[in-house]
Amino acid sequence: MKGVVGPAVRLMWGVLFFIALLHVESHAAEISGYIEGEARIFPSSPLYDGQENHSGSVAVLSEFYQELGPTSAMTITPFARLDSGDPNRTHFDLREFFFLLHGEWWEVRAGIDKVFWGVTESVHLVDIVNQTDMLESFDGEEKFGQPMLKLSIAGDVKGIDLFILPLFRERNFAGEGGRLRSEILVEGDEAAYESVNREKSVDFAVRYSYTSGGFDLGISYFKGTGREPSLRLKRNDMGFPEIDAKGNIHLFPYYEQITQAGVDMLLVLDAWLLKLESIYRTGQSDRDWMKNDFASSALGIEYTVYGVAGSGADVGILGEWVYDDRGDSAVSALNNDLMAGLRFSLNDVSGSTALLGYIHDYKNSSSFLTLEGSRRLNDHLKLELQGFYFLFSPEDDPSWVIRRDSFMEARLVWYF
Amino acid sequence: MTGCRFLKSVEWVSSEEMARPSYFNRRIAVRLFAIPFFIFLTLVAPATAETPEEKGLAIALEAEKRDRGWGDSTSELEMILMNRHGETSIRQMRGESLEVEGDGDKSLMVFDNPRDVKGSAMLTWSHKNGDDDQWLYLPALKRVKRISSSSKSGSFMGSEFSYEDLSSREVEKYSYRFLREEPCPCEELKSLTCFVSESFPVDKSSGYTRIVSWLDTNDYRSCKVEFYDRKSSHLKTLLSSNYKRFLDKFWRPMRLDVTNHQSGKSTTLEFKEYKFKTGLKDSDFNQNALMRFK
Repeated sequence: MKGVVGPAVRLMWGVLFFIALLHVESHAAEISGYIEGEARIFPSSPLYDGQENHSGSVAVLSEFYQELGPTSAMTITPFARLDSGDPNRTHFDLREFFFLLHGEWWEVRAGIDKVFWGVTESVHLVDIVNQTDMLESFDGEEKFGQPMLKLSIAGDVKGIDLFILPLFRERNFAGEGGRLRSEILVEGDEAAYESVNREKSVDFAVRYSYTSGGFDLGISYFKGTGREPSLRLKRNDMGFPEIDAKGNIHLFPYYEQITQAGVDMLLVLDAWLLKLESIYRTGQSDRDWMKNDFASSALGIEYTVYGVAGSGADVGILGEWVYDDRGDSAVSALNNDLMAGLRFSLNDVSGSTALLGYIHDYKNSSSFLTLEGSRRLNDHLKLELQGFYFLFSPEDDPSWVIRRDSFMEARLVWYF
Repeated sequence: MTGCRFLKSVEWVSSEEMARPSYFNRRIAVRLFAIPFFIFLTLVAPATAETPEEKGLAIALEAEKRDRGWGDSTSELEMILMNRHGETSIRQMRGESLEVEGDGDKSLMVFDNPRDVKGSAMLTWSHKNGDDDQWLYLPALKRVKRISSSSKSGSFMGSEFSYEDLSSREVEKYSYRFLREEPCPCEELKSLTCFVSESFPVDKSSGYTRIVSWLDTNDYRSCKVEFYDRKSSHLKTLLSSNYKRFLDKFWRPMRLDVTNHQSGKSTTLEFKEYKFKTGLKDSDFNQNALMRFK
């Protein structure tokens, strides 16, 4: 990505200048976004050298939208973060930089964009187009912008999206100062690829969608570089683990060529939402570095009570079960887990919401609690809270290495 | 004209009289019967010809018929939320609607303010029969989320409007009962007479058990609506005002005021701009359009 950022930034300024020129014309243009300050506190002392108990951070995201004609537009959304705790979390990304052109039943997007597929909350199994920005948020909801050419053909109730993804985006990993990492550091910059074309290998994806009276269906297929790397031990020429000057060994990400077929479904039954996501992937190594085809599914329900006890507040109940047929060899910590959640929306002027989640592993009993809350302070200012608490992390669970990294973070976000 | 009508009704009821032997007698009988019968007719006939349920439905059907053919519309609106202490907060939105023949309307709405929800958009396909389909687009995640149909009773953006208050009102979604006619109880239409009818939502997930509405008898404009909650107590009152006529035919209130009698909160919704026949099509109301809507 390093080689991409420089030219991309220059190109962006060029385009911004172009927008400024266009702005004189009558087409609609808009700038919006946010600036946020964030504080993270880790109450437990760290496990590894170099880690801190707290960190401060600022981030800015700005979306420039320029209508080019009645059926065409351009969007540029740069994002940047400065972090006091982990230099790797200090990063810049073009979340979006695309041109859009559409006709009555078709749409083309060319450039950097984000795409979301799926229906469940605890995991996003079918969602594969964009790389996860792992350091931006621990829940994996944040994504890097992905260069793509996307063609959509949509009818009233069905549609097909075709993607050509010419450039692969690498995942980011916590540096020495970062919490929520394993003892052995992952050198994200020293990535290795199964494909000889490395990150320039072209990926393809397609998704068919259908909707009918309370039922949504998506069927997707992806062929290309897997977004989830297999972590390998760095070795020297002799084949021994490489030890640096401080006496540490290192891991590096290995990106493999995979194919993935996915299905996502949602059914509305009165106040109930029933959800299913399922994938079958080939070409991916598991935790034991064995290439094993696998299937993984998430089954969920959501029930919401509106206007609880005469108030305007809504309460939602969420339940999801996640299963990975690789079991303990699964890369994901969620391999046979149950998530139960409670969502509160007060529907007050402040738009106060809270989400409380509990995740429990059936097999090894690892469990943790999550908390998310937000409240609007005025038309531009919002306070957000997020917490993560590891209740039980056994030695054989992926969460063992971060068992002392329960945290609470507060964000003050100014939207413009 | 009145005479004609009078004669017709007499002829219709007096078929038994026809059987009487004397034509002369019959004529007297007609004269004798006619006047009191006419009075009887004007007092009772509407009730005997039409049950209150039928009349209520007839009014709703007529209102729908008069509103047919508007095609599509775009609007800009502002919502002012007020709590019981008088503190206010403003929401700004833009909307697009499409009339669908044979089914409920389709609509798109995007939020401009408060800024944290800017760009969030909602797509609704309302249906005459069965639940509406509704999706919410969250621009930060680029995620389209399905909203369950029971959300209709939930608050819209923290306001005193619920989703169902703002969705298209299909005749089939309610059963009706006509109550009475009386002078319209709102300032703007006070010189007019209003039909007062009750409607009862068919769908059990509605937040209401009973809705009482006042429609003016000239143009079938809504003047006042009272909403009764699941416990049958008076929850909200909606007043419509600043009526404007579009395309020489379609009346739209430019201002809606809803007061929640239980919480003491109120919301004012004002249309800043309203345009008709802008050329929107079905294809402007699918999920790609939802994600594109700015």
